[in-house]
Amino acid sequence: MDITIKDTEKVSPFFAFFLIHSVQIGVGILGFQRVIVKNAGYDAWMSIILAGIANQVILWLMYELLKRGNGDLISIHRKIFGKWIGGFLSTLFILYVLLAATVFLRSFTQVVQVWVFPQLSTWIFCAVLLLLACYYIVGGFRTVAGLCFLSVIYSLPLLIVLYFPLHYAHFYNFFPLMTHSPMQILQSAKATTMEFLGVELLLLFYPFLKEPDKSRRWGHYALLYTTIFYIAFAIVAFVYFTEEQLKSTIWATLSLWKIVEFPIVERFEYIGIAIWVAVVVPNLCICLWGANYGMKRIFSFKRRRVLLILALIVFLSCSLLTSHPHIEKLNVVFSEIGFYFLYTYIPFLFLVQLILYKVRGQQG
Amino acid sequence: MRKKGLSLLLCIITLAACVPPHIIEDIQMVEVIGYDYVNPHIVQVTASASTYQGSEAGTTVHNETLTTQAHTSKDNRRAMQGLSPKPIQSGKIKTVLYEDKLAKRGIFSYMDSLNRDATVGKLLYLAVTDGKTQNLLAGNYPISTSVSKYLSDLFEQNMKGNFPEVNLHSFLYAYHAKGMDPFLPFIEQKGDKIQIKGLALFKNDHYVDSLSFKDCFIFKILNEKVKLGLYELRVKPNQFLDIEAIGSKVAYHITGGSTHPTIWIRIKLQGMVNEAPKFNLQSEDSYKRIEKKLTQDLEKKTQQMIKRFQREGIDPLGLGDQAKSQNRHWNEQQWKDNYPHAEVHVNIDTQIKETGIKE
Repeated sequence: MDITIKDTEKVSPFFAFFLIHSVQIGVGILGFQRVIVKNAGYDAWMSIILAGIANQVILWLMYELLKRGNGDLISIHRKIFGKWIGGFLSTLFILYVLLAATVFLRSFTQVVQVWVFPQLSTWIFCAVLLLLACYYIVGGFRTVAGLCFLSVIYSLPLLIVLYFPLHYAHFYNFFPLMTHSPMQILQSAKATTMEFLGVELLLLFYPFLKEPDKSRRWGHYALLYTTIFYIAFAIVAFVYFTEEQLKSTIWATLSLWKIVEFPIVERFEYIGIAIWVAVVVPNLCICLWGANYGMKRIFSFKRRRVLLILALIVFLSCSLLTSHPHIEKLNVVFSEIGFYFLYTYIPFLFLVQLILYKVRGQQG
Repeated sequence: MRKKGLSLLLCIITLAACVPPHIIEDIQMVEVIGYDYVNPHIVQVTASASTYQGSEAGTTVHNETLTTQAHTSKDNRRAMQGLSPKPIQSGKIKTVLYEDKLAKRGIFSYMDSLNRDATVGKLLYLAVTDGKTQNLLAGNYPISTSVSKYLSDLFEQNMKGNFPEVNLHSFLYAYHAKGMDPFLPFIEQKGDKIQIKGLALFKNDHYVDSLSFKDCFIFKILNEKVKLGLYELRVKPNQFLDIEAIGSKVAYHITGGSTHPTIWIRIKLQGMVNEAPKFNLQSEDSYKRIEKKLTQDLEKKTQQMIKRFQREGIDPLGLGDQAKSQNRHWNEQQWKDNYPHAEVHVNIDTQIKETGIKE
């Protein structure tokens, strides 16, 4: 029942940092400001901090869960709920991961369609990116982890570019502080958790980390870094736009890049979107890899054949989403599921496991 | 064999671009757009584009203008497409002009397409023209290669100096912010030159008043940090001193919220004497004398300028926006009612640092 993974397939504990951070930074950061401003206005930066702290707690719970279960989510499910119910729950999780892949891919395709190539057909762009992702996944987990490492490096210059919009900054926008009720700030914090989704993939790749317990602090660092990333992008957007403008700007981060000008690059957003491919592909890779690995663990399928089927499912669902309202709706559904999974199901599972182990421990 | 075939297929998919290409020689890049008033429902749009013609003597640049009339800005583009031998692209727009007559009726509705179109940048210049933009754009300006280059260079270099900084982004910010009104450059065609006449002041998106070019410096020190500017100080009825501002800072403090607002403005200005004919700079207290005179003069003029804004109920400095951040119970309507009667105190601290290479 327990799994053994060859040492040659494992990665060092510090890779947890790159894996978790890169899967959390995705298309969401291009336009999350509008969503969080809706409830808490310019106080929303506090919501990001709250969401970051909540996420740290959940990560700690996940590590405890995995340490006690000594395996991945699938073996934990099986141990707690038995073969059938456990398998069913694991399948649901795999479907959720596939949904994540669809949301990431389709949202990014939409960005490319709106900002760069309006005539670009969804299916061809998705197909190319999916084929690329499959190619990486066939290379194994280590390849995917390496790709995540690179994506963290590639996204760094985009933090530096945030300096340019500060020329038009109105720092007094933040004042007075706390003009919104704690409830509104919490609502925004809930909306922010969507941006932190992806951390749950740890439940699948945990056994692939060498000395997994040592990766703990790297995981927490990754979350801290993600939180800083989001706060930086939020603050710059808040001082650059008025609240009314932000509420009607779908991709605030991309609109920020519009003001960046270099002697050889008149419009930075095109460069930014191109760099962002390097951030979205690893996202896609981890999700597809996770789904693929999970399917193999649950049903003992052949990995490569399943991979193609999974890619096909993502491809078809992406092609079926044709307009902005559809994508928006899917994003909302995905974030709701993700929120309840992380903040309800994980603590529930943690408690069940705790009680079960206590009872079994006493019996034995 | 199968692998080779697959990689070939991949190459075909990725390399054969999925979207039609835009080759630079085959498109018409519009650089300046002008909006003119025709009647309440119809707007006239003039687009200026450069065409390049190669000959043995080198490449020559021609300014071409296309003019159409229609209900909306994008509808004009459709009509313009019917005049142009090449497809029109808007990615290179650098300047957008509005006729004063049109600006008086509000310009925001014409800006929607600028705001929505992802290909249009945010660093573009906007301006109000005295007279038809069509005439201005059709003019011939030997001083620069094209009217577009002329306009954008004109704005760029002036905004580094005496003229306050404004572009599409700051216009939109001021328009959307509560308690803030936008302003734009006001320009005019003068023979084969284009001249900045001053600053066009807006109430929401309606052009209501203008400041002279000379007053722009006063406005600039009130509005933002100044790194470079020239100011002529009248010492005696017939004696003038030229002061070069080399740095200034401004801070606003608004007490009383939106019910009993009192506006406190503090400016720190550093300058150099640039030109001082018939003026004795050798005496000990000459620096002090100039500083005192400058402070008095600027304090009076800034007060007058703000009083003028209050009378007209406009707020190009964004005092309301500042007040909002300094008071928890700020209310937009209340502010609008009380702003015209608010007391204004301007405190200017000047410092003359140098007098050039001569005393």
